[in-house]
Amino acid sequence: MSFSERNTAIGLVLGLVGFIAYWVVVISRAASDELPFTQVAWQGPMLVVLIVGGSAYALVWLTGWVRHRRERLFDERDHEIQRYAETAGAGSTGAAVLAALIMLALDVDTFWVAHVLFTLAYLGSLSSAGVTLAAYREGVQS
Amino acid sequence: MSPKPTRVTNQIRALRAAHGDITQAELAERLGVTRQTVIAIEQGKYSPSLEMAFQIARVFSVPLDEVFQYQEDDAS
Amino acid sequence: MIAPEPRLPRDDEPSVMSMEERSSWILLVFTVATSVGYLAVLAPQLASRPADEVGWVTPMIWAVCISVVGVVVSSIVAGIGTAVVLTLRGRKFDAELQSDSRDRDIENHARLRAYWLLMMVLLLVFVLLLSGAAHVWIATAFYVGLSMHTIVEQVMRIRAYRRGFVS
Repeated sequence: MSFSERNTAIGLVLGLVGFIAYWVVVISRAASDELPFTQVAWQGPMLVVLIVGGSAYALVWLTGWVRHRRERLFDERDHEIQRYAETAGAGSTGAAVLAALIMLALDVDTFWVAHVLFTLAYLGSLSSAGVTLAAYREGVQS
Repeated sequence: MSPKPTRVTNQIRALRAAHGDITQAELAERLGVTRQTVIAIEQGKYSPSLEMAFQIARVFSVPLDEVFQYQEDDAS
Repeated sequence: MIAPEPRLPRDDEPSVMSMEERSSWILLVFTVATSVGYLAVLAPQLASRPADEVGWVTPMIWAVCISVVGVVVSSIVAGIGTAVVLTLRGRKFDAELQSDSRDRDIENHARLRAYWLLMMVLLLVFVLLLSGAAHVWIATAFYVGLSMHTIVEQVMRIRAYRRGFVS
């Protein structure tokens, strides 16, 4: 498995675990506290998910880099697949950004802004990772 | 100017002159690219795709390595 | 005045900037101008009013619209203008004014290299959201961050056009 493919696969798993864990924590908190749904204490869990997830991914990247430091990390095939995958995820991420800005302009509660952004951006990265792994297995039509 | 970023050098300018003074624009038209791209390739600022490299060689009816050469690092 | 029969340019005639490089410059200039303009409009408000009362929406809509319309119109005008000038000099202009594979390669090269900035901007926005910052700060950070990403990507493209690049 190439450097890039391995990182994408691990990133996919980490993202999935983090995303699901986040919602489990937040929903169980919302169910057990007596506040309206949008006032649940979501900031802590999100900070934890971002920091732990980000650090874990960075660690995976670093260990892979150290192990392969004498070799060429990215070749043309990796670049082409990256390009291809980015286009796949770009629609969702673009929609996330637009939705967030519109919600901010309409003074929507921060809770919704954060969670729409979180979910759409995650879906974008998920489809991007899926496309990447499929491309490594089956090749890209160029 | 900063050093040329690619290790691939080419003889395109010489080949153009030797084949009836084909201009950059004429070569560009045959390859389906812009004149600026031909200029960039000649100056070593852009490495064409493998397909385009073969098409260039085909225009001059010479083998590929008469058009493009790859500079190895100095031994020392 | 009748333009001479169009012919391909000779090698000694200077080349013009390629179409996509010109678009890159235009986008760069407009992004810098509108983001600076937005900040200039916003700064006095931020200094004098509490964050919740700052009117950021209208300036941002203006900035985005001016940028989009300006870039589209300028690109069209510049393209037509160059084609007209070249034709008047008797040069066939499609040799120098189309999009080719090098343009696609440079665009992809820059997009890949600038991608991490986009991720940083998203991260920053999330941090601001969960720290409960006022909406004006979040929106401004978003807008300025995206503008910087655009600027960095266009600078990379222009450098690839001017100095060359290795993919």
